[in-house]
Amino acid sequence: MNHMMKKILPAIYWAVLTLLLFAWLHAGGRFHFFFMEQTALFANTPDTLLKAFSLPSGFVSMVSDFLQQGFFLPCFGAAVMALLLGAAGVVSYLALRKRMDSVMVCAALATVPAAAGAFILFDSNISCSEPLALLFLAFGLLWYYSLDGSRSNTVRIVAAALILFWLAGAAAVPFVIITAFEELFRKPSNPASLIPAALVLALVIICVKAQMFGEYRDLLLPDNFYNLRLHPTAQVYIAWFSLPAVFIIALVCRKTGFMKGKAVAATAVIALLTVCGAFVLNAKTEKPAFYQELDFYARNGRWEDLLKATRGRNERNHLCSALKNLALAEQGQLADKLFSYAQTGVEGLYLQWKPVPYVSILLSDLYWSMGNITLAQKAAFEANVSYDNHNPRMIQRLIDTNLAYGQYDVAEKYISILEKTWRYRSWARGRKAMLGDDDAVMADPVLSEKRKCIPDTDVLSGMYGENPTELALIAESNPSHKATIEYLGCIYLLASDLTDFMDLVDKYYSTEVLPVLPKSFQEAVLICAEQHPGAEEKYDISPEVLANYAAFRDFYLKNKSNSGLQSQLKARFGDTYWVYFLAN
Amino acid sequence: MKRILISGLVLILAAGCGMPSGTAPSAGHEPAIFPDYSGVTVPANIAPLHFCVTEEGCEGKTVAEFSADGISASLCGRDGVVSIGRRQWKKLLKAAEGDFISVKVSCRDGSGWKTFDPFRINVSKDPVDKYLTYRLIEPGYEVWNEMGLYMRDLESYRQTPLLKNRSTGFNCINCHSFCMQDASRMVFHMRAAHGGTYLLKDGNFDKLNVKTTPGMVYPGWHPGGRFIAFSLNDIKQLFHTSDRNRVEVYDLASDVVVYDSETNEVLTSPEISSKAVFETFPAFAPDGKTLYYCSADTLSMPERYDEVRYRLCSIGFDEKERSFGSVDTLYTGPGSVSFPRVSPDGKYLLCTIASYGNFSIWHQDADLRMIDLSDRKREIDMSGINSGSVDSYHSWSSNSRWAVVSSRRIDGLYTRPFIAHVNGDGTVDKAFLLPQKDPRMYHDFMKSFNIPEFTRNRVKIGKLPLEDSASPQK
Repeated sequence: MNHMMKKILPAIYWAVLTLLLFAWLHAGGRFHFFFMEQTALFANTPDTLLKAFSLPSGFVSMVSDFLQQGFFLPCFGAAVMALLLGAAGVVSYLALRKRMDSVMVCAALATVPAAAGAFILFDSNISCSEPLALLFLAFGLLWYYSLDGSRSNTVRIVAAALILFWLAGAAAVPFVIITAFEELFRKPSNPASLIPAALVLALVIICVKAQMFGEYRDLLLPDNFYNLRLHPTAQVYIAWFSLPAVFIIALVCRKTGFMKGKAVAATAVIALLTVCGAFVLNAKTEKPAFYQELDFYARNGRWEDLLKATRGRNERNHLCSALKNLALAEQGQLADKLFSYAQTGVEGLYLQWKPVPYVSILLSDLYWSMGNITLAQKAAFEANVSYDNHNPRMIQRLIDTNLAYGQYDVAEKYISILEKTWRYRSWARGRKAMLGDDDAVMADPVLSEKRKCIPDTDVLSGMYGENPTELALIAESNPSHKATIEYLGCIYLLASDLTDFMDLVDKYYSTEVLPVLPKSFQEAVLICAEQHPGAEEKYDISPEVLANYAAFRDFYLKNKSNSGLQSQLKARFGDTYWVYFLAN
Repeated sequence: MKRILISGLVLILAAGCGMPSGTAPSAGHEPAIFPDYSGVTVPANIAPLHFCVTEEGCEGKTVAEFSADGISASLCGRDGVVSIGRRQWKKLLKAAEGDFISVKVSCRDGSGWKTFDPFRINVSKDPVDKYLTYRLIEPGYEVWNEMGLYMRDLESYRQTPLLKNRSTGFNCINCHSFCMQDASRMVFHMRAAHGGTYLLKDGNFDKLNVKTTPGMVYPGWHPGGRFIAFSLNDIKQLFHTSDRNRVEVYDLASDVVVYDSETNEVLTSPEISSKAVFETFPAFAPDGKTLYYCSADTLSMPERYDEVRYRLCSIGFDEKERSFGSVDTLYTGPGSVSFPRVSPDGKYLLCTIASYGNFSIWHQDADLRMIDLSDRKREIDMSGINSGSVDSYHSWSSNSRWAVVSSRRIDGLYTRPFIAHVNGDGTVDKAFLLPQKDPRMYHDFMKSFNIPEFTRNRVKIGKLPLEDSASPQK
């Protein structure tokens, strides 16, 4: 290979690899990156920069937050991640080339960390911090291998290790280990080679003792780049250790002469296996990816897309069902189209509370849609706390719930936080104009409706059992908020509680709260009329529903001894309450 | 001559801020500032009181002239924030001890420079304890994330983490308490991972091996350090749908016990452990002979949550005999009493009064009330410390001259520590917000300052006896 080719071929190789990474990340992680944007908040203030330098690894965290704020842009998240990993590969390659001649061996070895990084990029508990820290480590090693190898470098390594430790935390640990090995191989009798490692270890101990970090693993391992409440997965460690591992392998190969001829093949196989492994393991992340897609549609009010995405998928999943029903409610079609979609019971309307961030987010959306501002606020607060107060959407919800309540002081606090961000600044300023101005709140079509949903009579939420009592109060408070009464009726229908359902219909039918009966309510009334003939005459049941019920009844009576009745009914009348009622 | 020189220096400095020499037109009123330090009383050992000028149009150039007894300092504000150096501040405090610092603010808005009427910062001769320990936690409901105990040096801005739940499996750390403001005698609880009560004794923490039902909650130290009174509370919470109080925390049952740290026993009496009465919030008098607590007739909960009224009661305690005496009722209303705290000199009792219930930190009408223990009927003006929002959890300094209160007065939700000077007659001067290097942090900070407690000495939390491993939550 001539000199020119030695330069051009690697450049082409890394460009292609980065492009492939981008294509793969974009294809598989479009919604994942949109979701990541919601887990970080970058305040555009000088304080942010100051804080970044106040803690080890604060700098990579800040850069990570800075980059993640742009992940709402299509392709941006995949591009950033691909570039970070590609850059880590390129810099590792350049560092390896400082000591090894073979372009192919170096390229194959440096591919390993870049490919292994792909293990972690669809994990929603990780930010850009880990690939960034890997890139810092690679730069540190490139700098080290550029030094004059014939003289002692201890002082310079110490300086680099300290900088690396402060900027990228745990990245300093593999750096001092690799450099210690190199220095010891170069001059085995020099104990000064261990000084950088000892210094970094001392800093780690000081930081933990000073409670800057919770555990040693936060600074010795990549744990600090992961959700702090969880232990990182094996993939995270693999991605992290792959970079120092290739340098150690390269060092051992160089010093021992091991694997000269076979090195290319062996390292290429390792790289290939790593990539394949990444694909296989990533296939298991389908479930969160699906949730992230639905969350994206819900976040952006793309209800039709949400309904399309859920059709035929995860039909027995409560979370999926709750989102589907939320989409119907937001379109004013919940009680009309409830049974046009598979239902999983009451939990498919609103989930049971769990101390899990994504459940809290969904519950906040559901309660907001129902008009239960108290619980929408509670769930939003808890979700935001779970994201370390960095979830912009939940902060928006907190602003809106506090504006609805007229609690302007605390709304102002949340507004000032979003005002410091680039993406949410103009939205926050729009809300700021409403502070202290009840007329402005009442002029807003959404906030005015939600404010009207706050019942005149205060009750303790949950004191009288579950949601129904509160929903009835909300419906009375704001009869025009259609979703409230529809959710309430649908809860009774899904619970097969026709007694309470009929009480509800009797109480509110033809009032402002329930001027007409939606389709599923009409269908339920006809079932009740079986036991109380004439009940249907009180309500304005549409001729289509009456005709359909006659057909259903006829079919049922003719085939009731048929073992396949359920599936036949489902095929012919699957979008009616009657089939759900019979099955439950 | 000295005054002329100082005035000259002030003018030169003011000119350095871009303010022209001569007198700027007067605005005719004091400036609006955050925190509101106008007319507050501070100890002579407090960190500099930085503040923001929140007057319309004053976001840019600001000049503040501090003066006290011939000493002056003129400062340029940046972005409307006035910060004074620690050395200059100390000199001013020393000069103003027992008197006041005058602060004159000028600012330039669109129409040019204007000067506001000066405001006073009164400086007391009574020092405050050097340290304030609090928990930082979101004012949340059922979910928490990161929280921890922190110690603030009141003479500087230094805040030291004592125990963060990052180190303890993200569990809940709560109810830290010190014996007579002595940091070497401390107790606190942890819930979830490593759950239990931890007692600092002879420099080491022990996890108490004592089981009660319900668990031990609110502590109150006996001054001797051997006994700690605890309430045993079966606590629940619900959420208001349309009340200015968001959360309602109530007890289904509660009793008071006294833990003997020498014998590891729990002592009680039917008088403080009655099924017919909710007893809670125990607090010993500094002589150790009286145990104060709150009690209310048991009602059906949560249905009658807003009918519960806690009285302030006391019961005699004999530490030698480890026995209880008779009950005395000190205050029966109006309102419901919580968190009784007796001043270390034994003269006053500070408590919170809300219209009902006991968890006053969520009650917007909660205010502090001072009871003169030698004349219980005497009404003591507390307007200096109370606000229109929640004013609740409070504690005393060791010299009985300062009280700190958790207040939600800034935004109605996040509690902030306000410190008030208590005069010899029990009245309080206007409280000041705990100073911060950048006062705007209170607007951005998303955690509450919970359970502020003064200590005379530095708190040290060494190795905790953590037995079970904390598993990460999935």
